Amino acid sequence: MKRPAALWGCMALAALALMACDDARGPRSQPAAADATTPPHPPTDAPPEADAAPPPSAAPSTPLARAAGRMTVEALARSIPVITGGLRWTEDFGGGVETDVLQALAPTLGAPDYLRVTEENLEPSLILAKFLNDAAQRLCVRWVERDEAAAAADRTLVVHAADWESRDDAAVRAALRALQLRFFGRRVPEGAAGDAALEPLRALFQDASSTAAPGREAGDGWLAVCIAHMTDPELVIY
Amino acid sequence: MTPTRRQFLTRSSAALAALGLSSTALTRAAWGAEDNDHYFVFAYFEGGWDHLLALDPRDPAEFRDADMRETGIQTAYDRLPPQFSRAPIDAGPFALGPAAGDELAALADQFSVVRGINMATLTHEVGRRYFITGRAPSGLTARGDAVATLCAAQLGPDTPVPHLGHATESYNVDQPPFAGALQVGAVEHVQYILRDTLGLPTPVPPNVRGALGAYWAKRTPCSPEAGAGASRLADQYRDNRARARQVVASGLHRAFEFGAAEHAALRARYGLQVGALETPFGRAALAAQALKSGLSRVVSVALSTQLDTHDATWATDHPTRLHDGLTALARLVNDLRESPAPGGGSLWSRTTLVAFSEFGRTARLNERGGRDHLLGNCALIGGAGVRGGRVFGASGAGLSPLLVDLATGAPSEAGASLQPEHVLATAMVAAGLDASALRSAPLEPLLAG
Repeated sequence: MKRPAALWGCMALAALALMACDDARGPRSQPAAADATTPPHPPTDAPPEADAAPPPSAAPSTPLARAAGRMTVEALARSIPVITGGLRWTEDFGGGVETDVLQALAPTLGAPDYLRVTEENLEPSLILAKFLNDAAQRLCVRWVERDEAAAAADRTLVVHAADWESRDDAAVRAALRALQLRFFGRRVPEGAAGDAALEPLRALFQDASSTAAPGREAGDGWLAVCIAHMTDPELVIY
Repeated sequence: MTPTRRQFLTRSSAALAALGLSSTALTRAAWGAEDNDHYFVFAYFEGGWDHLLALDPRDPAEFRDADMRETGIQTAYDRLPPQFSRAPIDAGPFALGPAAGDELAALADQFSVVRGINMATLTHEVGRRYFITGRAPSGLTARGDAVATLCAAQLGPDTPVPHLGHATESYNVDQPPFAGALQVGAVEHVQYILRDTLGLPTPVPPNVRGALGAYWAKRTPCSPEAGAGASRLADQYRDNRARARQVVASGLHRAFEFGAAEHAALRARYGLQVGALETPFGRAALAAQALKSGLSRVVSVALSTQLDTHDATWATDHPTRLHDGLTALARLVNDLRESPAPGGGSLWSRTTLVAFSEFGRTARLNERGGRDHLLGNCALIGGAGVRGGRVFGASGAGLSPLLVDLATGAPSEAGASLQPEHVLATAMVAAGLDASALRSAPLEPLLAG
């Protein structure tokens, strides 16, 4: 069946929408919803170069043939353990009971209670941004601590570096590539273009680590990088 | 016609929001020079309130049970708990029902009562959404923006949380995102919301914070042709992320630490018990503190809840809950009267208040000793721009809404049906806002000046 010209036009526009950002970050690798033949890419620590190449029919980046939307609170709560390799945002507010913070604050974040509120408020509100900043600070500290103590094969934050303490640029970039995939489903290409896309994050790592207390150089660097990822709009805007 | 400064600001902020640009600095600077800054409180009484007990009472000596067939009214004041009077309270300009309480009655010159509002529904969701939006819902689905959202949109994003909501619904269809209500799940949540990492220890060292600050400051939004990260939503998120850091740094949370020593007077005024703030008094205190601290310009809050008493609990629970809600409202008004506004005068002189429920309750008891849903309704409106001590509209036999002359508020067979949008338009116009979205004229006799 021939596709109408208008459909081809829409597809062309969608392809235009895939152009990389000004900051030259690489495109997301999540396949288009309509592309049923391409499996989705779960967060993985496999080396980027080992990942399957996108199908030849796919556009150079993710087709985004719809308006951007914000993740629901429930989706965010489910995503965080997937991203962090099992960490949930729970806190002990006293009494020794761990409270699921996102669940407790869901009404404040706009989740429906189906009594008074039947439709979720999906605005990227000030309070959502504030809570994500809170979550990032609380979770990233735990994540860094856990990763630092883990065997190389069990790490989820700093992968592709045999030495967790390494601040070697190549190792840092490799780990940043994995984090981009883990957080945003984005494959940052190897080479100069990909390195340029990662430069703001590499500079952040360098900035935080170079001003850290002795012995905390890598830890502070990765803490800053983790918080930057978790507070990035692309975590909740898709 | 040359636009006013307010219209200019409204349009500018809306346009900037649409472009995903920060309008905060612009409006804050401009509002600093504006001498008519304004605030709103929308107080919801959930479940359908009994007019005979508060805003539209009848004298049992005149409306006797023996005449119930003719009047359609059964006051049943004799069934109330002993602390309630058996007759209406003389509030001066008008009478209020026994559950209104002395504290509200003492403020009768500060507000007006609108009686005989025709809700055209007996369904909670419909009535509630009608009064929240000023537009009759489509089925159960609300249509249009909440009027509180409209107000917040026009007042601008110059406060950290322009529109705070608690235990109420709110809708934002086509207003800037900042105008949508930030719904807090509990009164206690506000102080945690405003504190960095919810008040928990933050072991992120200063060098990491500094590096992140520089990183966030350098990053610029992507080009509009790019993906979700370059979307308007993402730009809004970045803007809000920066504002969130300002809020945390401002120390605003202290205004909501109700257990703190500095809030002893506040606790005494509202009769607050720390750890049990989910009461009409805790919610009223939340509303007051939100306005007084500069957190919000518009607060939507449910003061009384569980008023839907179809059985014998009408005689016990309903008057108690209604009384508590209205007394909390009175304390909120007094609090605002004694609090200075940044632009001069008292905060109350710059705050417009609307108290409403989804509908009233039947004027006769049902076979279970309760009251069912009534098509008619009442509302309380007061504060800035509103003339106090007035009654607008009336109800007739069985508390049914009467047609009124909208120019005077007096019953008139040639008049019109009073509807929620009349009350809401009055509140908006009283504050100098554009109420054209409501497609209804304000009730002129209730406008001050």
